[in-house]
Amino acid sequence: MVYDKILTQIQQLEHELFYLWDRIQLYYQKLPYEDMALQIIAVTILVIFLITVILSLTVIMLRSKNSLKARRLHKLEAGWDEQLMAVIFAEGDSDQPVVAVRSRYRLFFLNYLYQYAQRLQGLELERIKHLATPYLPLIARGVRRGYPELRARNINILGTFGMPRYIDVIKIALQDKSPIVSMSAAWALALPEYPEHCRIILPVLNMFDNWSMNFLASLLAGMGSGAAVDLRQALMDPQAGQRVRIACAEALRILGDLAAADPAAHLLDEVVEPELQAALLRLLGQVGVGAHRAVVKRFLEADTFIVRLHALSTIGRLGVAEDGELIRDRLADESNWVALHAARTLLALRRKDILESAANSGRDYAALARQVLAEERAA
Amino acid sequence: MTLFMRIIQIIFESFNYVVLFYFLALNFFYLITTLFAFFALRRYARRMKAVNLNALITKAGVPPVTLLAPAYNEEATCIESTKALLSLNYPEYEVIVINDGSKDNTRDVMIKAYNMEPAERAPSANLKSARVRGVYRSKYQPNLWLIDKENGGKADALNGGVNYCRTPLFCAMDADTLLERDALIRIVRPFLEDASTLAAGGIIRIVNDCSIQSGSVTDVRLPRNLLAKYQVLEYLRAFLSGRMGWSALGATLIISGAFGVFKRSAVVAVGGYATDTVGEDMELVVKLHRHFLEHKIPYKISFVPDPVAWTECPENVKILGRQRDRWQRGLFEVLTRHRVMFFNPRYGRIGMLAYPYFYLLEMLGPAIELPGYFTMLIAILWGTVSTSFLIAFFMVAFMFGVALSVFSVALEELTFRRYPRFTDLMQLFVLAVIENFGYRQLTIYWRIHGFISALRKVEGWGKMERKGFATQPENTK
Repeated sequence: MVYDKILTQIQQLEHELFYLWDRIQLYYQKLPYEDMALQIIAVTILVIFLITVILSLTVIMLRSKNSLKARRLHKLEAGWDEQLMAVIFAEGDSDQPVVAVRSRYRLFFLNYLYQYAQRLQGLELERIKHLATPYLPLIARGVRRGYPELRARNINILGTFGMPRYIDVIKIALQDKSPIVSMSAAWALALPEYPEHCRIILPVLNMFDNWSMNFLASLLAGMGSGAAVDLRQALMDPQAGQRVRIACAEALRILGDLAAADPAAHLLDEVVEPELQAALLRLLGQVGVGAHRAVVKRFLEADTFIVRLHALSTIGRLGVAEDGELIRDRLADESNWVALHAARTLLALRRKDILESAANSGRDYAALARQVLAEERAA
Repeated sequence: MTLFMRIIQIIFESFNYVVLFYFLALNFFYLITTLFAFFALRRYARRMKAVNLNALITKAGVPPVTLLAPAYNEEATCIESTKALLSLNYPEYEVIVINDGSKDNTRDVMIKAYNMEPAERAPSANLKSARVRGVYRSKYQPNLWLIDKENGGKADALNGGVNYCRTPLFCAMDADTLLERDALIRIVRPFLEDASTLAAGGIIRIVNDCSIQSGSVTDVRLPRNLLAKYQVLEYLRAFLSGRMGWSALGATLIISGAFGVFKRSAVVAVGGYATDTVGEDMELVVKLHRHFLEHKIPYKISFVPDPVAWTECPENVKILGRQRDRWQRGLFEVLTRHRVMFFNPRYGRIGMLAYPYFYLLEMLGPAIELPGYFTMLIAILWGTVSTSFLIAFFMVAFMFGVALSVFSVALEELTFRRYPRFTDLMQLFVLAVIENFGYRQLTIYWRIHGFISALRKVEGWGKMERKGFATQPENTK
């Protein structure tokens, strides 16, 4: 009975809708073109108007929500500040207190601690780590979920507070398809306490194809001298790829790895890529000895200015006063940078006499020589 | 109706269709860039939460940067802005103030304020530039240099600065621009993440009536002057919707001359700034695109929305008019100079998308829009267009304009929220409505004026007056 009634009502509604649709169609068929255009415009105006109003109201609501949130967090943080100071500056290391945090604010608290942790080290950092530990499982669950930036941030937090407990989670994140997550994992793993991580970071380095070389070298050097053996091995490996090899050379330079000098000199004879040559020359400039002078000198007249430039700098570190005569010609190099390095190299080789005669020569490079002499006086 | 009148009528009617097409195309592009900007800004805001700036500074080996600040008659602001430049949060940078033959005491004020003495510094490049009269270095701030040169204009001064730049990156800016402390570290981030990055531009915000303390903006508020308020909204629209959107589309064609970071070697390779245009900032970016696309070298030019440079905007109609006239002339000069890129597939999305947009809609736009108001009116008088249709058309234009402005304010609220006062937010909404009555027409007039000036080959920047930054004492807020 009820069913029949509902069915009748639906049929009636359907009939009315069809009737309405027919009327609309009829109306628009009869409507002049211009009126139809006007109606479309009117609807457009109404739609834009509604969107604008909704957007404005959303912004106002968003502002109110953000202000409230900021005030609430400010209040919370003020409370946490006090407790945190008490923890950081507590005497002795027993009876580590725990800051009570309501469940809905746990992630905020972790982020709050993370901000602090950036400025602390040693015992203070350990105490903050202790405070963060109970909340880390929340983050660890999130490293494979959410958008890449969130995953990266979670990795950063785990890297700061969760080592070594969460090391496996971070190792998995190293293989993440997003470079920002993978990079965050690499930074988290590249610690002096774990030089063995070099072996797992090097294979993914090619993933960061476009990243600045300084960035990659700093990352590798972060593992300290314990990673030098692996870095040297990758440097000598032709299969490792040019960028990886350059990053290794730069990292070895930062680490001042003396054992890398002979392999670098040997490699200079083999490689032809100017950027790798320049990196090896920079490395030799840092860790080389007089015996490597002969290899370096061969690059003083290289075709690429960046190679000449670094060969000059390296001679400045390894050379002797007699090398000054060789360097003199480079003052007139077509590259201003090479010329500048030549002038500085002369100073490093204690050939101020050549530089002074260049300063008084009236040649194009006289200003350069005067600048370097002035820099020396100022120093 | 005579045949002559009929022909005139047809011409007018056809022009009305051009106006209609222009309107549709312009708003279509605005809509597209705004949508792209929305997604890009959302992504960017998330990304910034994942990046720790301090860690970036300490770990990443950020490249050294030289700040180039050309100064012409800037004695009122140069001390304050240089002070701000010297207090940036960046590990290794130099500041080169280039006194471009100022007629006031800019040079002496700098020398006295920063205890500078003549110094030797050899140029590292040979870009075309007016004669350098002297190089000075601060005794107390070894990273502060002053290059005193003969007047040659802003582009010439920047070329002079690039010639003395010794770092891989340089930051081009105006001498009256205040950079936020983290601005440099934020703007070099694209260079770290993508080594093929050639240039990156930051956002320009208006400093009028904001409080400044020790070279930093401490209290952000809307200006009191109505003209300046309009410009705040305009800048939000231009940067957050426009430039962010174009950057997301991979087609950044403009990096503001007030704040942009460039790879020095790339700029030298393309011959530096053009000294024969008032749009030297845009010209450099277009030239970089052209050079790298022609040589098939992969590169990237991006806009970064959160490094902020604060600048003083004109508060009177005459000076604002001159500024807009100059911008339009610059646009005209640049786009006509590189017209080979116009709808040229060789230049990818720059040639097929960004360049035609700027050429047809930004450069020629005012020349269509302003006459369009008159031809529409004439069409009503002739009875070829109904009044109701015209009113409806203008209503759509008006509503769309308001919606885009509100969207820009929404983007600001979603991301950076630099205007903390609720009243400022409400004012921005009101401005989005009232700017359509008078201010919008005025800007079109200035732009068409600039367009005509460019056709007449008018040169020069026009006199700009600065109030100087009102700095508060250290102990007040």
